[in-house]
Amino acid sequence: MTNAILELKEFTVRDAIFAIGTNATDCHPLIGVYMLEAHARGTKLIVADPRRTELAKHADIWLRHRPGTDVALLNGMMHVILTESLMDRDFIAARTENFDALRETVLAYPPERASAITHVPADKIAAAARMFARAENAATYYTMGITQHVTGVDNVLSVSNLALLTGNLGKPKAGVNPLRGQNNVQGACDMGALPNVFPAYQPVTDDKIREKFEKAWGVPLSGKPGLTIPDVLHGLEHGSVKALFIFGENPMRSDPDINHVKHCMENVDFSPLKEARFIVVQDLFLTETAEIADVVLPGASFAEKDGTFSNTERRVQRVRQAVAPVGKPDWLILTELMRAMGTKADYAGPEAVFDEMRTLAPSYAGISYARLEQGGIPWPCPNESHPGTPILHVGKCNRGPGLFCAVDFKPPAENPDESYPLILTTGRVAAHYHTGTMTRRCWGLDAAHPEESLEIHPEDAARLGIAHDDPIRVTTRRGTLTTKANVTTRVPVGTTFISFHFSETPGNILTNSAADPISKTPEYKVCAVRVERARA
Amino acid sequence: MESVVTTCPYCGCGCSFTLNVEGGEIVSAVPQVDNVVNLGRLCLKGRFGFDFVHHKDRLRTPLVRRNGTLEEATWDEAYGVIAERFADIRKKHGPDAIAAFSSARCTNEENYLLQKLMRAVVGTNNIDHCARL
Amino acid sequence: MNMSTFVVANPRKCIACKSCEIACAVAHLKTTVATAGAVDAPFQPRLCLVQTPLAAMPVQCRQCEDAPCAAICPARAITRRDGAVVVDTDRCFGCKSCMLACPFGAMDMAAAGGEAPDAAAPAKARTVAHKCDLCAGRPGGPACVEACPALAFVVVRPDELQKTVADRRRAAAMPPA
Repeated sequence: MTNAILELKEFTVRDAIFAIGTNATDCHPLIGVYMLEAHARGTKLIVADPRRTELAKHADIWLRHRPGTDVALLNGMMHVILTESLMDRDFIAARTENFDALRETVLAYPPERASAITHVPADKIAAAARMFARAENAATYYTMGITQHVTGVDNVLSVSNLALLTGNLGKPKAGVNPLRGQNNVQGACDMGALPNVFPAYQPVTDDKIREKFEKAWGVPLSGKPGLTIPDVLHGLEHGSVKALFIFGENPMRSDPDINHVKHCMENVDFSPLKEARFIVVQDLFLTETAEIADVVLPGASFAEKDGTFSNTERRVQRVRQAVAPVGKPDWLILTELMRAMGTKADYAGPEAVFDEMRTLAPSYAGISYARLEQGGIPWPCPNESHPGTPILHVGKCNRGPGLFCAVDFKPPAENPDESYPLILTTGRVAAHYHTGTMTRRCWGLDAAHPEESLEIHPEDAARLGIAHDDPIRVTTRRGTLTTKANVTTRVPVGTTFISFHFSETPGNILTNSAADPISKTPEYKVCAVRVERARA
Repeated sequence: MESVVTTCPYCGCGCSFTLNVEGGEIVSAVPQVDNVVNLGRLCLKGRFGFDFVHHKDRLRTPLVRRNGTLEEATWDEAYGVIAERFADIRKKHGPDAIAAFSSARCTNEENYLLQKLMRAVVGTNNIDHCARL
Repeated sequence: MNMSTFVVANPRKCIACKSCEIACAVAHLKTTVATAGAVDAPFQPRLCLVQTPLAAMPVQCRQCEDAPCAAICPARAITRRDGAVVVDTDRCFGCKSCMLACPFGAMDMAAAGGEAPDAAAPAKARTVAHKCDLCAGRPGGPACVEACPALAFVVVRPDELQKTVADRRRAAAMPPA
C-alpha cells in the first residue's frame, strides 16, 4: 500500500473509496469494516466486482463488470474524466510524464465501448468516474481481482493511471493500495525471496549491489536472475530443475491446475540417467505437498517463535513466542541446515538475523527490535531516528515523475464456449485462509464453514436443472470435482465462483495456469467451466 | 495464565493480539487496543484461528523417504540427506538445478535466511514465493 | 414496567463473517477450544447468521416480554429469569413446540451436554431446546457483541430503549424547521 490502513478512519463526506477486485470484508475484514464505517459517515464508496460482495451491497455505485475486463472499465472511467476535464492538471504537469500517450489510448474507450466490453451500463461508468474525480481525496484499494489475470500488470498500471490522472498519490486518504493476502507476503518480498532481487529490492544483476552482498556473506554470488514458481514447475517437468525446497507452502493446493502441478512434482527425470527429483518440504502438517516430498521438516507456527512480520501497509511488527515449539523454530532449522551444508551460520536468535539483514537492506536500516517494542514501523526507515514512512511518493514519486502507462484491453486467456459455457472465478471465504492447512484445523472456523459450494446464478441453475444444495459436477479443461450448488444472485448470470480452501474439493484443480507475461501471476480469476447436476 | 502480545498469522492487515496461555495451551486471543491497525477488534480468523497450533496432526519429527515411504528420522539424518542430495545435484547439474519456494506465512528473519541459504550456500537465485500467485 | 434486555444486530454494519456464531459456541463451551477440536465437539451457536444477496444479519432471541416459546412449552421448561428467557434443559423433552411458536426462528434444538464434550464418553445426546441466554454470568457480557469486528451488535437495555423512544417522540413532535 502507498498509504496507511488507519487513514480509513479519517475519510469524510468529501472523500471517496474505490474498491476494485477486493472482497475486503471477507478477506481483510478489519479494512472492509473501516471502509463500511467511512461509508456510513458519508464517504463515497465505489465498488467494482462481478460478485455482490458485502461491500458491493453497501456501495453508492456498484460496477458489476464481467471478470477480466478491468482495463476497459478503468479506461472508460478515465475517458469520462478526460473528456469532462475532471483531471488534476497541476498534478499531471508537475508530477507525471507520458500523459499524451495515456490520453491517446484512453480516448479510444468512450463509456459506450467500455460498457460493451464490461457489461456495465455506460452511465454507471460515467457516474463512478465523476464521483472518483470530484472527491477531495480518492483512494483505490485492490486485491487479487486485479492481479490474478493474464493482464494483471496492465490492471495495476490502469489503477495507477487513474490515481495519477486525478492527483491521488503522495497524500493522505489516496494512493494505490493493494491489500496483501498473507500476513507476511510483503515481508517475504522485502527480504528478497524473489528470483531477481536481494533484500529491499536490490537487483541481483547490479554489480555494485552484488559486491556488497558478497562482502557481507563472504562468498561469490550469482548475477543471473533465478526462476519464478511457474518456471520452477516447468523445470521440474522437463528435468532442468532437480531439487526443490518448499518452505511453508502448499503448491499442490494453492497453485493453478494442480493436476499439472502434481505431474511436475512427481515427475521422474526423463533423462537416460533416470534420476528422480528431490523435494524437501518444511511445514506444520503433512500437507498434500509434504506427502510427495523426500524429506519433511516439521515447522513451527507463529505462536512458537520470535521474529517480525511486515503487513500490507509495510509496517514491521513483532511476532513473539507464546508457547514452546512442537519441534524447532524455523529460523533455527534453517541455520542448522546451513551448517549441515558446510556454511558458518551462528545467530544467537532472530534479532541477530534481523540486525544482519538491516545492515544490507536500506529501507529496514533504522528498524530495530528495541524500537519495535514501542509499536510497528512502516518502511522505508533509513536510520534509527527516522519515524518510518506511512505514505509513499510524497512530493515526488520514488522513480521521479509518475509514469503514465497507456494500456489496451486484452481478453482473458480462456473464455466460455459451447463445451465450457460459464465463467469460473475463485477467491476466499471469511472463515478460511488459503489451502486451509491452519483454518480447517481450527474448531470454530471449520465448523462455521465446513464445506465447499459453487455459487451459481438462479437462471443458470434453472437452465441446468440444478436446485440449491444439489450435488453438482464442475469441470474445466484441466480437471473436475463434485461439490454442492449455492444458487444465488451473489454471482451474475454466466459466472460461477468457488474457493480453494478445501482439500477434498480443491478449487485449483479447475483453474488455468495461463499467466501474466511479466508478473507470471496465473489467471485464477477467469476460466471456462461446465456445471452439471451430479447423480446423488 | 501467561499473556504474550504478537501479530496475527492470517491476512495482510497485521492485527495485534494477546495470546493467553494456560498450561502450555493457547486458550484465547484478545485484540490489542493501543495499536495502529485493529484498535481493539479482531476478525474471526484472528480471534478463533489459533487452535491449529495444538492439533494432533502437527508434524513432530523429521520424515525421510526410505523405500518409497516417509519414515521418522532424526534432525541430523534429515539435514544429512538434504545436504548430501543438494551437494550431489549441485556437482552434477550446477546450482541452478536447485530451487526454493519461500513462505509468505513465515517471518522476515526466516525468509532472509532461506534466500541467503539459496544465494550464498547453494549459489543460485532460484528463490520465489507465493506473492506471485 | 419491567422490560427485558436483549441483543440485536444492525444489518447496515454486519459483514456476514460469522464471528458471532463462533463466539457464541465458544462462550458456551465447558472446555478449551483446542479440546473441543480434539474431541470433535458439536458446534452449537445460539444465534444464526442469515446472509441473502441483499443483506446480512445474525438472528437471535429478542427475550420477548410475553414469550410465545414459554407460553406454548408443555413442560414449563422455558421461563424468565433475570430478564432473560431461559430453557431448563432438564425439564425440556424436545417437543419442538417452541421452535414452531417463535416468530423470529430464534429457537433451535441441540445436543444436551454438547458444550461439555468428553471424548471418553460421547454424549448420548438428548436433544433439547437451545437459545440465546445473553451469556448469563459471562464477565464480558454477551460474547457475540464482544467478538463482532463490525461492532454490529447492540445490547438493548430497557433504560436506553426508553431514552431512544423518548428522543424519537421529541423529534416527531418538533420536526426540523
